[in-house]
Amino acid sequence: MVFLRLTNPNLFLRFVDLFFPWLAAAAGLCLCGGLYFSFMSPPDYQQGELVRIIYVHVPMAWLSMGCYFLIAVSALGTLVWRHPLADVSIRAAAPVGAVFTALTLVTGSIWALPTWGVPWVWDARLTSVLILFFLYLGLIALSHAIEDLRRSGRAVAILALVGLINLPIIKFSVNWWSTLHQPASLIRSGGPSLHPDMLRPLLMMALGFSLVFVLLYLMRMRNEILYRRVTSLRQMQARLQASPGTLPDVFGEVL
Amino acid sequence: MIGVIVGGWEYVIAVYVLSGVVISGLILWTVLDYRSQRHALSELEALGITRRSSVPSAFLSGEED
Repeated sequence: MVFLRLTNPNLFLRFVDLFFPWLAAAAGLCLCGGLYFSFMSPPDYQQGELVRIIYVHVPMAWLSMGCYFLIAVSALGTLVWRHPLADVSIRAAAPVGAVFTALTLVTGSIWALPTWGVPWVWDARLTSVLILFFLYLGLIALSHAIEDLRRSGRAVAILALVGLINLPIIKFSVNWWSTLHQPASLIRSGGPSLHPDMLRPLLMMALGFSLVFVLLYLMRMRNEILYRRVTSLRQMQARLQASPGTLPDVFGEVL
Repeated sequence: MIGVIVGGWEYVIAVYVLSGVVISGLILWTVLDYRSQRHALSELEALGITRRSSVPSAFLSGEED
């Protein structure tokens, strides 16, 4: 019931203002702890110090996929329940997801250079993550291409749901095809293959980055709601100035 | 025989610094965007254009541009 009440934009804005400092503090604490354990953890027997890249690269990869799943759930909210906050959610999450996916690709390339000898190979895992990045760019471009919010919301939601097929491909690409990228070492049958000394900083950094993601997502949702209010009020102002004395019909568009 | 990679700190530092700078930039951009939207909303409210409130009488009577 609390969740349903938060779908009211005014209550949502108050919720964001209330939890913002706590989320920021928790994210800062987790990242500081994660950084400490990342640099205190032992080097890998084979990769040496380079293994420390895992504590940034893997959380970024998880969040880039998690963010797309969030967008797909929001897309259902747009198409099935037609809730305006669902479209706000997609528009808020897409740029954050694009940045996290870009960081996944770049940090992976930096890691690949000394370990594989090349920064990029067209293997299934890398290519499917690159497609995810292009999907994010497509969502952002489409959301700006159509002026009418309802029409663009539906188009973006359909594209988001079509792109959902890419998530299992990313996850299982290392099992389905022969790839240079290593197979899953954490979420796999038989439990994690990482030593606890490496697992601890990885989970801590993942929690810290997840909190940063939630923080950014909520902040961007707040911005999107304000942007829609400003746009609607400007339209109202323009109509009032054009024909004083008539009540504008824009209240339905205001969140 | 499997070789061990020695060193590599420059790659590790590059990854941590790059991620920190990019995420900080994203946070800064979001905060600046919030301030800009708040400022625009305040300007409109100062003109009497508000949400869910009655439309200002000055606008209705056409006295103000």
